[in-house]
Amino acid sequence: MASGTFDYLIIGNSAGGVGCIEGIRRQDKKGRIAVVSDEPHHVYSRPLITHLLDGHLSGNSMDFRPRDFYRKTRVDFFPGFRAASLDADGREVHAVPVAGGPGKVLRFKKLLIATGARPFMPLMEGLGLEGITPMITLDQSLRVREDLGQVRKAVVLGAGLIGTKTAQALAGRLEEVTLVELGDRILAPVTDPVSSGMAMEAFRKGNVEIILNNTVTAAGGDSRGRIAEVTLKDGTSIPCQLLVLAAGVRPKAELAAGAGVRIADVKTGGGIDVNTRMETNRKGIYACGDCAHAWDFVTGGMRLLPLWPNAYIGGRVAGLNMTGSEYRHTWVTNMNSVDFFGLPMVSAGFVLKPEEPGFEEIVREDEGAYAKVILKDDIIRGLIMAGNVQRAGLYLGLMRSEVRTTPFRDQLLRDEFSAADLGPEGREEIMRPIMEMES
Amino acid sequence: MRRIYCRDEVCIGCRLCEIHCQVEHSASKDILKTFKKETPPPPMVRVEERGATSFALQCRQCPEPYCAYSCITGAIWQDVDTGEVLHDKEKCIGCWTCVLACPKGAVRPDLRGPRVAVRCDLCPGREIPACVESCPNDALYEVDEEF
Ligand SMILES: Cc1cc2nc3c(=O)[nH]c(=O)nc-3n(C[C@H](O)[C@H](O)[C@H](O)COP(=O)(O)OP(=O)(O)OC[C@H]3O[C@@H](n4cnc5c(N)ncnc54)[C@H](O)[C@@H]3O)c2cc1C
Repeated sequence: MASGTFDYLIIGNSAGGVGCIEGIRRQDKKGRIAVVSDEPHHVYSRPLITHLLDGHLSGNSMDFRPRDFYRKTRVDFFPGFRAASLDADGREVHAVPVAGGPGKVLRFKKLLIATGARPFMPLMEGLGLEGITPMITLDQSLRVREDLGQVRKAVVLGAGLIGTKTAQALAGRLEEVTLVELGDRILAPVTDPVSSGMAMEAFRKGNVEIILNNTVTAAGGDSRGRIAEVTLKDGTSIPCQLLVLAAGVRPKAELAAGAGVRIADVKTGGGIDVNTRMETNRKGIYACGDCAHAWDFVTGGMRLLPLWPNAYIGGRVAGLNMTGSEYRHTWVTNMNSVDFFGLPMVSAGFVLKPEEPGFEEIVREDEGAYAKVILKDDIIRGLIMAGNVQRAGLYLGLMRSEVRTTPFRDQLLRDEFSAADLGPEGREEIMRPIMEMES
Repeated sequence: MRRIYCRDEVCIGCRLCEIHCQVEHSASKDILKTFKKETPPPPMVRVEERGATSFALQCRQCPEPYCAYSCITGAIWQDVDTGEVLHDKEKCIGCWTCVLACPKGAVRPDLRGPRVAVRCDLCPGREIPACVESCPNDALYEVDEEF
């Protein structure tokens, strides 16, 4: 069996993997790095896969880094290989080709597990029909795109990031798109009722029908075994030739679990347990991204944050630490930015004012624009901006640096609030170039 | 790593930096044509003002660029060896994650035409960036610092 020995081995070729490579290469230009990926592709941007559906993007523009990336960073890249088992004591990974054939033993000194997440599959009748698919890989998106000729009507289940992005992309191509959501608003984790209402308005104008407080319980097929309709919990049936399942994702943690790496309690998310250096309970074995927990600087706890920047920065911190540096991944919180049918929308930290005493909120509503800041002790703990997202980062910067906003609190939501409002000390804090990931 | 800074004490908010940035990034690079005949591009530098305080703000070329670390498409990334923050506008989809990531508010959304993020590119091909050169008070200055 072929084998190889590496200073750094990375499982997963996506945001976390790239962050790790770039973190390592910042400090160590020579060490041997290998990346194993069960997908056959060059590194691509997962959040872009839905953009393939509306015909605006081609395969190549999915690349997250230029094609010479592995050569320039001197990485041995093994596409189409699945890490089948991990021996944490023996420091080796057994990788098998997805397409079949002989495997490889990859020995490592330091390991990053960045295996991402898998789609949560809801319980429903008829799951095996043609035309039902999750939407989390490039291949799934390409398959749906190829199939669109047979589709006039589509149903998307779940109005989180993946579902809403899928619905937006499909709306440009199909006669009818229906978005079905179990909760009472779309994009719940990143909106409050007002900004969610604005988003719903944008979707309706964009020709997407939204059904709330409901879910798909069964799919029915035609004589060729292709989906022809779905039945909702309330009994309604909707004809469709495509059903996209976007009811959330779950961490892929089995490889780690099988090797005795500690997994966090399922109640808290069930991701791989790491410290803020991104190291697991097994020395030299790190994890990041959708498969692992991360420190949320707003809630002050470890949690799942299945977001691209969290995976990239977590991987970067892991990579830097693998080379002997001391970095901590404490910069992220639930933070998101999207643009639906021309409505830009960002959020960070709390989107709803926590019930506990001490929290306050300041709100501003204008024609087509909405902004809300949640404060505790005059420190920003939550942000929503919709319609106008100018300088959104300034608020997140103040949040992260825990700047007390007392001197300029009244100005926070004025037009053109900027670093000029912060006063000399606040400005000093915010304006210097960020030299290292200070925590 | 080239960086542009501003001395607040001598910035009077005249906004010539914004104008010359627009000219430099216009099709003609001619001030009259830029503003009379073409659609001027959005300035990559902006004067932030509050009462008597004013200062020009553009990307500070952070060695740890959160904009690049947060970019979901790969449009903004940092060269591993030089530390340069690169920006491929063709790849930008206008999701504004970089706008949310930049703690200075120095990356801006351009909502007209193709929706792309706007940030200072240090005027490729020029020895002295247009904003620095045009600043009448020498409030803007450039330094070369270690990556
Ligand atoms: C449609 C869609 C839209 C999104 N939009 C946004 C957005 O706008 N903003 C945002 O912040 N986030 C967004 N996300 C989430 C974001 O894509 C993820 O948070 C991010 O991809 C996580 O990166 P990762 O490196 O942890 O894992 P992943 O990107 O999931 O990559 C993990 C890789 O590891 C591979 N792998 C797993 N197990 C093995 C194994 N045993 N052996 C070999 N390889 C393995 C997987 O196949 C995969 O290629 C979106 C996601 C989707 C699907």
